[in-house]
Amino acid sequence: MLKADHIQKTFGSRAALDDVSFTLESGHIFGLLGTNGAGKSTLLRAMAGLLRPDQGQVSLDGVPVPENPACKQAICYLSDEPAFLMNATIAEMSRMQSSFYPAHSDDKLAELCLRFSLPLHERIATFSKGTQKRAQICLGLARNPQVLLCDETFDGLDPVMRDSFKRVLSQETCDRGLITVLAGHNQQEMEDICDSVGFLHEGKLVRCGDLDSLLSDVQKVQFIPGEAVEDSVLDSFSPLRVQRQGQLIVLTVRSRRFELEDKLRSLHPLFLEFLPLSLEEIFILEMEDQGYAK
Amino acid sequence: MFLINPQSKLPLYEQLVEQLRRQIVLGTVSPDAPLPSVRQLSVELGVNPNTVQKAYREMEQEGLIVSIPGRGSFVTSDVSRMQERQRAAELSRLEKALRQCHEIGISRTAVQALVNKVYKEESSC
Repeated sequence: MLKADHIQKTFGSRAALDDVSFTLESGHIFGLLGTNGAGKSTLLRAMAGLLRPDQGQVSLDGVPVPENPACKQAICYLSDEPAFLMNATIAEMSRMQSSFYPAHSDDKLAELCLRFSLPLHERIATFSKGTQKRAQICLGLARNPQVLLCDETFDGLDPVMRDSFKRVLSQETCDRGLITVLAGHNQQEMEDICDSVGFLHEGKLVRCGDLDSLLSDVQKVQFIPGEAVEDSVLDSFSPLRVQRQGQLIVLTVRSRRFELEDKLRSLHPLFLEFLPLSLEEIFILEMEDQGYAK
Repeated sequence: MFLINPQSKLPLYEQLVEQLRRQIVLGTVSPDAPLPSVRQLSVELGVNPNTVQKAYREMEQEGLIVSIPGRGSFVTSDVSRMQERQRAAELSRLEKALRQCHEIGISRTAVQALVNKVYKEESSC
């Protein structure tokens, strides 16, 4: 169990993380979405024990992470800018990391490199950016970590590799109960693979929950009322958004579907249709709600 | 047996349930056929194992599959009951569509003409 407990971090006068808390059970995949500069990387670095929070604590199975070699061995942080030893090959990096991480497995690395089409004995510095990302993933997973923290890892991969990475994550989750945190902007991938999702904005975790409930929490519905409807009636739904196009009204409301449907039926609509919302749309709505880019 | 359509707006687990339902009705899966394990399917599709778990739970509740602890999940042996149920669901969809036709003023004759057309095509084949 990975736990972030009221994490607070300030850089100068700016609060980078403001009272962030959540708990992830083993086998859980958590997606962290955020606006630019929201504090995603800071949060990941705090969870990896690379950054000491001003207040609050990160713990793994009840043990505080910072300054704890056992925890650091169990947590793998994939930064958005992979770092390798100069001139090293994957095989050499693996030899070095095996001396720090006892759970490291050469066989697993070889298998992963095969899967991600990586050469073991070529200089990593000659790889393209995307290929370096793949090398970083393979080296990270070869450590057999308990926790994998990914900073924009999907964003640098091509579609084929994104797919391979998702499969590997599923496998690790099933077989070893790996806890994964995926920070980034790749909403489609998050929708595919995450159990729960958190929205980070200006250092605050403004929304956090089960992916399914997050997706069914907000409804977008278009309808044509039987007779003209005053704005005040629509306001009574406390909508997040109202659009009118001629007689057609599109409402976006935070509500359960059947409750909203009941209410709208009372307006005797000539036409009523629920439109599915994607994670991306929900994220945008939530950020507008927070007053971002409005 | 299962595929994911990333373009579909249906939740992933519902896509999986829908696909099995369809295959059962079309008779393309045999009764008692084994389903892939949660691990197998989630790795194959690259989706969260919990999503597959949820789909299987839903299938079991609907009676599409039976799960036997330690042995895995199997397609129900009572396929005909599932097909019967699917027919009822299809009819209720048709009823809904008909109501909409009625609402916008499509006449009974027009609907009957359509019914005749479809069913005549059927019988002449």
